[in-house]
Amino acid sequence: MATTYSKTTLSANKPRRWFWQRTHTRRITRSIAFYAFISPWLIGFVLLGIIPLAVGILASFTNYDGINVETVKWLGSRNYSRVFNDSEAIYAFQRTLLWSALNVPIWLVVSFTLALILNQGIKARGFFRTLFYLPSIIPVVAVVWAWRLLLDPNNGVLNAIISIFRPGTAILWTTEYALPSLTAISVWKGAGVGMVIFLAGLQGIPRELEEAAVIDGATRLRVFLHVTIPLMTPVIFFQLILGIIGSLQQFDLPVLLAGGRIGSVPPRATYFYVVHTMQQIFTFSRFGYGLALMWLLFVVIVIFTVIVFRTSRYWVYYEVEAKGEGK
Amino acid sequence: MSALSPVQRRDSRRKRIRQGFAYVILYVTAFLLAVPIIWVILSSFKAESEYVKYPPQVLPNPFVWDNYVHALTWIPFFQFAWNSTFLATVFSTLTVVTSAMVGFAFARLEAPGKGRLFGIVVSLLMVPAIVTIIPQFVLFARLHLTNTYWPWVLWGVSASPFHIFLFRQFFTGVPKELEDAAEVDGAGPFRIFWQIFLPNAQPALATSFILNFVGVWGDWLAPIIYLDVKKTTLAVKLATATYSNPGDPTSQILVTITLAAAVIYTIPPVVMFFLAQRNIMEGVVTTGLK
Amino acid sequence: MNESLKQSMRMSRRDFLRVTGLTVAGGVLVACAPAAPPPAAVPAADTSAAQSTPGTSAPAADKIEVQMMMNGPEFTDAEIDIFQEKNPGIIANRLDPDTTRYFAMLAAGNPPDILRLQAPQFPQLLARKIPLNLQPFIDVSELVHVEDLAPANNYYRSGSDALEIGDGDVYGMVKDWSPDMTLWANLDLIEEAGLPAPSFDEAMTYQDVRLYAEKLVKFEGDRTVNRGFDTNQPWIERFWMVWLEGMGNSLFSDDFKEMQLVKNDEAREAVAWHFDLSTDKLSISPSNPSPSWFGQDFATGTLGLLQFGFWYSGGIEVWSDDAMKEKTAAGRIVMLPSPTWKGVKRGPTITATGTIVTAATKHPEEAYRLFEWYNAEEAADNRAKSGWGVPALKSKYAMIPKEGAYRSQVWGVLEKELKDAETIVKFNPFLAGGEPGEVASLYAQFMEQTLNGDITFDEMLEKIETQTNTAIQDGIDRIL
Repeated sequence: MATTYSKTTLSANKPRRWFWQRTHTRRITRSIAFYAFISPWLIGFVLLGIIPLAVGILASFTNYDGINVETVKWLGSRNYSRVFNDSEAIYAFQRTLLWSALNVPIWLVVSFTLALILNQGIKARGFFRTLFYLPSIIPVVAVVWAWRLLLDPNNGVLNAIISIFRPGTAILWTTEYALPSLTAISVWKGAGVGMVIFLAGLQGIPRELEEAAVIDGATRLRVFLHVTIPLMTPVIFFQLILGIIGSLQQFDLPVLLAGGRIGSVPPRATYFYVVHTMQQIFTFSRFGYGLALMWLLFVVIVIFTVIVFRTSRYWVYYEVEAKGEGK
Repeated sequence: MSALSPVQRRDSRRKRIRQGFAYVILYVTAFLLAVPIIWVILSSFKAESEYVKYPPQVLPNPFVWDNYVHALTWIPFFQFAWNSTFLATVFSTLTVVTSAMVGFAFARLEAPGKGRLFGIVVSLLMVPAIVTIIPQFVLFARLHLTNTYWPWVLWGVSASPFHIFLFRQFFTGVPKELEDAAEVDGAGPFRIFWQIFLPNAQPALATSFILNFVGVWGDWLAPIIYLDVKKTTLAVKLATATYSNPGDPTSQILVTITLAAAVIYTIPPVVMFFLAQRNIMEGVVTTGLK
Repeated sequence: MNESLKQSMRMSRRDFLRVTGLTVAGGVLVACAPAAPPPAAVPAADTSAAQSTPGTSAPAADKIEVQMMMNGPEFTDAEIDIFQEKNPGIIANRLDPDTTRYFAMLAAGNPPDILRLQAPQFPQLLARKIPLNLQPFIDVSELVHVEDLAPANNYYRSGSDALEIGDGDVYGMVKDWSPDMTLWANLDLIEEAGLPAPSFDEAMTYQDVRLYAEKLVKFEGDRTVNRGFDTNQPWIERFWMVWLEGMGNSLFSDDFKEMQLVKNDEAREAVAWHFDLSTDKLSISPSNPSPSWFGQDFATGTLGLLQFGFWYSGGIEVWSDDAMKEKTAAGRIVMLPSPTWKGVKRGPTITATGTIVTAATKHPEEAYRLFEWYNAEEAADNRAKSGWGVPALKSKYAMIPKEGAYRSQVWGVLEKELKDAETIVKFNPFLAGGEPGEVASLYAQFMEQTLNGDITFDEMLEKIETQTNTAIQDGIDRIL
């Protein structure tokens, strides 16, 4: 009995002593451990982040063609001034802005609406949530094939359906209406993701808060506008930023629709900025110029992000401890 | 029921109407979302000559099972499938492990400079992919690493900011007591990570792995830039759609066979999603911390 | 579980879902996030990652490996076996053709020994001193004789520099070739449209082609049921160059350093001819896309006239369904002579796909051996008999299929075309000359907005000219 007792005391005391004696050393070991743990990312960040970026910035001042180093010439800022004289780049940028202005709000509204509906105590919520999320799992290449079949002007499903009412319809969905069509595809693919995020946000809003408002005599609309929306603003804000960043660099959908080669030229309406950039790089071997285009886009994206962040203080409601109050 | 006041009854009737309305919208949306998928599946059974006919018929006639046979045999489908699987598996495995490590460090370890470094991770979430892809390509090309799978290995090893963030959030939610108990037993951070945090992070690991896998499996941009026609992935092969008859030296497009291939190509990510959708959707609720 | 733990878990669940969604939304980001360690730090054992691609086999130590960029169906495994059997000291390794990769390997000092290319690419390669002069080998060759070379091979010959292509030392050979501008006609559709059957002897003019196209096209509302005429648009600048040379004109200045389009009336006319087909919805265009591609359209029977060259004679046999195959065999699908631009008959070859040997090869003897075998022995015979192209050597013309109603008609036209095939076009050495070439790319890019009326035809030409000149300048910078 006595032996057992002493053993327990020992095992309880020993670590404690270890703890106190080594606090200082432990702090250093912990720091070392921390840096050891993050080293893969940190090394990667430097070697595959910082260094390529530095190389990329340098290359954007040259006529580098992606192949020959011997014929590289320093052009100074010529590539950058060329962007502003490149009517195609300007045009492509305008199209990109238009696309973002169309795509981001529609995507936000559709996914938010779906989340709201699913949050109405729908019985089959799990089923619908899964179904709506499904398109985002389907690889973009397969998605584009599906939509090609629907949108083909000559034997596409959509025009065939319209032809029932108006025979001989051959609406050019993929060229003349490429922007709305692309938005449809993009929303089709992305709404589920947005919905899941919004739904998670909505479920974080304490029921009691809304119910309390209803008891106070507020209409559902008022509750929605004055309770739900403000509480959701951080999520909306976050989604908005990601939507803008994603939309401004849209590349794969239009190019895949146009044939799926790196040099495929999408229809005019969806000739986006990054498409133009990739054209310069891969069709015309203008790596230097392409990189200059890229850096300018980066600057624009940063500006947009900063603008959204700056304005956020006027409309984003930061729910300080709001979640806990319901309990 | 009988105890309901008229107001309550009115409210419940309204609620029923509202719900009915909600269901209508949901079913319509579900139908719209399903149409492209169903149409592809139907078309994948059509003969090439039927596919170009107008008006398009809903049901394939005749039913061409051979499209699926040809999809698998007319190009070395399995070679490209293997390339895709290999890349996706290698990248996902590496990045899940390293992201978990880094996420753990940010969640649980202390060191000078940690806050600032985490700030970098968070701001990297916002860096557009397009900014890094070309400069990296330039660098890899000069190192003669294009047309190899090395870039994926290196990307994998260096973790991904999204998944670092994901694991950091996950590990932050793990109660401190668990770790303290282990520390009391004299375990260092590495043991704590490997023996306590990692095994208990199955939902996060599964989610992270699947998202990465689906991401690489579906990615078309990186392989089309980095890999040549032989080493490339299914995504690129199916995007350029050069399914051709045997004996055709020019490799031209055969749509319905490509559609069959696209259906097969879509199965793995969808299956993975269904297998782990509870984890993906419900995620952290079942953290394994019981 | 205590309350705070529940709390923390619910919060993290939200974040979790959020990140989950983000990651999916991130799409490309997932795969391309900034990443990791230096190549030097990578352990050697890890090479398995790069090597585990199927299909790579290490050559035996005592044998010399020759790498050839060529498409799989054009250089089959069976052919590789035959070659290796006949040449025991050499291993032939086929790579898929990829010019970018070729250059990358060249820059790395490890270029493929043989490159597959098209004629328009050759001048720039020659200017960059990339191809090996094969004349010393040809001089002593028992299989390849200069006088036996079919005229398309002239695209790979030069006496002095890249501006003087056509005669002199041999730098490469066509693998096979085709009068690329011959027409294909669906006689049933032509009959249906009430048009006279076209002559197999007399070449149409492009004006005739247009008149046929106008009658052949069939609409149903806005929908195109049948198309009138189509051709491979990535070749369009090459067509223009052929037409203009026939008129004693050119798309470029004499030194090729400038494009002459906007102020060149004949060039404008050439562009307008094709552009008007699109305006009037007679051809595939951004405002009238095909659900498939023109080769398939013709094989499906929804396209009346197709300008696609002799090599399509093999294509139609592969791409058509049974009904169309019957029709073809019965001689209802015919090849017509290449049309003339204003009555001037020119050499109708503009692809002349062939091979060169890389000057930087480490094994010129072996590389030439494979080159010669590929172009003059079994593989060349296989191609000649397949009916997909005209052999590179005149002595093999006998192998071209000529039996049956279909093939004999095609051969009849081809035989006459070969007589006109002596002239070649001078391609611009400052342009890379891919398919599509720079000019064709720019044309495709601006065509849609011109069709929409966003810019005028003149503005389109200006844009093409300006941007082609930029591309030429890039080329000059890279060569000189």
